Amino acid sequence: MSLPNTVAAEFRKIVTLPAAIVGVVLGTAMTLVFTAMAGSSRRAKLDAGMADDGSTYDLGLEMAAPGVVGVIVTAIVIISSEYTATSKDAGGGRQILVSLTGTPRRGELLAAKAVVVALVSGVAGAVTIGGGLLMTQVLLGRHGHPIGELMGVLGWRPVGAVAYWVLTALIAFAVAVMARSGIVPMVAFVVNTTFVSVTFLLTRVTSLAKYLPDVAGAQMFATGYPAESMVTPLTGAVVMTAWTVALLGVAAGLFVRRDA
Amino acid sequence: MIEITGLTKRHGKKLAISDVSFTVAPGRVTGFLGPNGAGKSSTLRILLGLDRADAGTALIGGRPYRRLRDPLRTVGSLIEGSGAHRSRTARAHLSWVARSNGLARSRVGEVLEEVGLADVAGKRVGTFSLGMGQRLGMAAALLGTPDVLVLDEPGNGLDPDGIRWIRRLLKEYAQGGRTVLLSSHLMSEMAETADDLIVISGGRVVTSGPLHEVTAGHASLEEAFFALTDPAHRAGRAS
Amino acid sequence: MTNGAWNTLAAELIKLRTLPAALITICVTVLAAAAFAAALEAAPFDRSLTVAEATLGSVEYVQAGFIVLGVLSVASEYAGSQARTTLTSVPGRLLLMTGKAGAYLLTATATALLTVTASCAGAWLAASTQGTVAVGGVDTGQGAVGGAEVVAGPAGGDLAALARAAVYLVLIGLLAQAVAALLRDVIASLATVLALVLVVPRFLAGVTSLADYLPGAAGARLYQAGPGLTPVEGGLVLAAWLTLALTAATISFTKRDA
Repeated sequence: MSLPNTVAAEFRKIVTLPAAIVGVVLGTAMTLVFTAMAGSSRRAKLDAGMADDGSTYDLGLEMAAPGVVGVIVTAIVIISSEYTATSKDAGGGRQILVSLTGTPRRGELLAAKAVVVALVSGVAGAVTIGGGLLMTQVLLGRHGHPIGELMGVLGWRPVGAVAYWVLTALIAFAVAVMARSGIVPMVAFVVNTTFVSVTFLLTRVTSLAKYLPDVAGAQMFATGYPAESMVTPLTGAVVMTAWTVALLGVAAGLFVRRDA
Repeated sequence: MIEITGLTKRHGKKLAISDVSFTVAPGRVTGFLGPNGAGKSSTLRILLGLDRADAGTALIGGRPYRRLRDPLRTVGSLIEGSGAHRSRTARAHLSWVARSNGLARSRVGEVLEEVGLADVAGKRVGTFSLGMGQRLGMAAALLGTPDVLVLDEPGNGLDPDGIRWIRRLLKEYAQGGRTVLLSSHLMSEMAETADDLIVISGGRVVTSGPLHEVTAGHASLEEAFFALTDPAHRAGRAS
Repeated sequence: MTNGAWNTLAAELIKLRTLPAALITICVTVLAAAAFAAALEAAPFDRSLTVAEATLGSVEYVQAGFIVLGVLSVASEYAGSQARTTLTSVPGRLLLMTGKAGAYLLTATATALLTVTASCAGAWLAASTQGTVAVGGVDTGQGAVGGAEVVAGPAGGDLAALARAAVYLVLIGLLAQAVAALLRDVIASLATVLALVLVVPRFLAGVTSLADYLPGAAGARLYQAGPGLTPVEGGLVLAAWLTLALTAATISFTKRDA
């Protein structure tokens, strides 16, 4: 079995996995709906005389950080569904056995899954971020900006936001592979997307926390991150990518070595 | 004594079983036969109070399963494997089952011994083979020393020794005046074990009665089964 | 009733006790509570916190542990074929649900008390470390305040707030249990409840005051003053969420095929 075939098989699995679809669709839909709500409420405030502090450019990116939960769920479900026992539980009943007998080269199986996670989260991210940016400018009405000007001001940051989605999904995927279960990564990653995230709390305790994947990665698109002396966007991209590669490497090492 | 009367169940528009009626007498092993999708599982699930019937009743000793007091003291059942969570040990699994019906703790050790799992009682169910899971399911069924046994494919995954053990156990159970309803696809095994037969096909009971009556006129139980359940086969024989 | 109520409760308690994931969840929750409270105490956001304040702040994080416990207590039945054994052992659906809720409530109450105590201990430890620094003469202002708190300890009003925080933790897990009875899947239930309690509030914040009526935000008013609802209103809103979820779960669980 070649890698393209394995990728195609993994793609078909995700398309037929309701939870994975729900994760992506709901994550994107929720982000867009809430972005729209933020857009119209900002317009009302601007109409009422609030000064434009330049945040109208950013509005489409504001929900990018919490919105990533959708692709996190999808990335985790792709792995946890393999290890969930179906009705015949003793010994068999887990899809992972079929997957591994179908594609015995485990590195290839994992690579195919990672490719699917990256593609799906990339498309979801692009649709969400792009859609959010366009929508907010339309909803802002006369306070909105022309696309050319918007892109000029934002620069690479929308791309950074999409990259943040892809890399976050891949990290969640790697952790799920290591844990062989969805519970641990689900709790860890969802708790970390809350208001006062765990990693943000850590930035208060140690300055080393600025190199944590999500803290560094958020610098790719965030303005006004509520902590001081963060890394530059480019460093952030490098740091988060390094984390992703390292975690995928460890996950692959475990996946190849251990019994199913 | 099991009495099933006019049982009907739909899954959406599809009729799973339609007007199924039969009785299972004490003191005998009753075989329940039918092809995949014939309605065996639907019937057994309703009998055990897992699913609800759209019409009809399924009574055990005159009461529906959901009205039985401490049901495991009356009915022992096995459907689909171990029925245990994979991260619990066999002993822990049987402990909560025993507790839920107020059964003595000592029964856990006794049934583990009886089904041959005493050595692996402290192991997680997830590490069990299919046959060991099946033995654990049997252990839970025997826990309350019930008067009625309802077993779906108990021999599934068992080694020859295990299959012989089940056969002997069921015969002993019936000889003691208790009721045994046994569902299986293994015709030769069924022919050796069952006293009575109920054959279901397409959601309806096609025949029921003592083994020798059902197989009368056929070379074997298998031949009789195909003749009863496969319309095409029946037509072929007639021509 | 098909089974003895006490037997049903005892069986559900055995199930929780013998489920490794549940035990791990409890241990991690208690330890994490201490760590979060210590971190909040050591590195407060805008002003230094009392031990009680740091403990209450840690609730935001550790509630996830109670959500996991609530979900596991029900949804683990459906990971494999155990639900079939459970329902043939205890065919009374309402009795079974009550037994499950009871077993969860007992376990969660004990866990919540441990969690709050561990949080206080963690915050106290962090505060007293800062106090030691003050004695060494490195820091005067900040350290002295920390030292004073250590001596004072939680006051009466604080104890009431801590107790209400424990109640909130137990209740948010009960909500998770009800959702798990509806969805019958560990991951789907976790994603739903965590999203409802932790993620959606972040989206809605600053956009609409409806955010105050989400179970997490409303429940937080039980132990922490904040914008939006009063403590009584918050409690009522959380109670409404619980009633809704438990009613839906009960109807679904009693009517639906296994």
